[in-house]
Amino acid sequence: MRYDAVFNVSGSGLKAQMLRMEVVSSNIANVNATRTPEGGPYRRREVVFETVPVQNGFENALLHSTAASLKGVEVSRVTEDASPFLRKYEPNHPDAGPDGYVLYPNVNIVAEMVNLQEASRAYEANLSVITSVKSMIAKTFEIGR
Amino acid sequence: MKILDWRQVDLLERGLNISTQRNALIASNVANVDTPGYKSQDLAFTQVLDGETNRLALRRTDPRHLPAETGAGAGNEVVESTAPARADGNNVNIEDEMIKLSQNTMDYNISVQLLAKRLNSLKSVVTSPK
Repeated sequence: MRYDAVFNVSGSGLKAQMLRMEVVSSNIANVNATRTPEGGPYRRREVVFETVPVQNGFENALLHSTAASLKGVEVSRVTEDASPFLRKYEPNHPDAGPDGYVLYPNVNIVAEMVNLQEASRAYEANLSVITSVKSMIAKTFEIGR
Repeated sequence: MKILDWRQVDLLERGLNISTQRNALIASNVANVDTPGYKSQDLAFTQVLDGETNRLALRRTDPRHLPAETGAGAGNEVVESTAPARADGNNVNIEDEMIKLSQNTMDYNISVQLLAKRLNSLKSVVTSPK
């Protein structure tokens, strides 16, 4: 029996959640960014998760008949949130429009914090799967003792 | 008890294989906890068990004797959970998965311990009379 499938799957979960946290941190960091290289204020970004089949060799497919059902996860793309920007009346701001309103990013800091918590919990869940597999492997060595 | 009866060892080995497979499926479920449309997967145990209990039933000299319980067989049918899905089509419940994980690790440890004991008793039979 091979264990590397579990490490691949849970490892992909760790990577995907970490990328999600990176995107969230980018949103939080740019909560007040009114200027971007593309012009206009920063747009909130979101990750899209997608399942990926685990990379298994021929040997693994033979030994491990459930291998075909195993799915890793990856961030297939990072999308931009199309919701409208926040408008604040700040006539003295250099980026204010002719009407005195400044467009601020469509980032809701509370929603981002919740997202961050969710990502970090999911990260921990993947980590505890890895920990338990490690303990199982360690336990296996007791068979011959 | 026949000391060279390997059926028990075979059974325990299959138990270990099943626990490992199940563990991989739990890992897959946890990794995809936020993937839209993903359905939680597990091994179908009960059907496998039914088939195996007949085959591995303990021989009874009297029908009034209690039947022995046998362990899980070598089934590996993967089934998707039919639990109600969230708005994104995903029905992974992280609490359930964590419970299954610790349950499964425990099952695995039990099998390992029984296997080690079985092999140890065999060893003591082979080595004790000097």
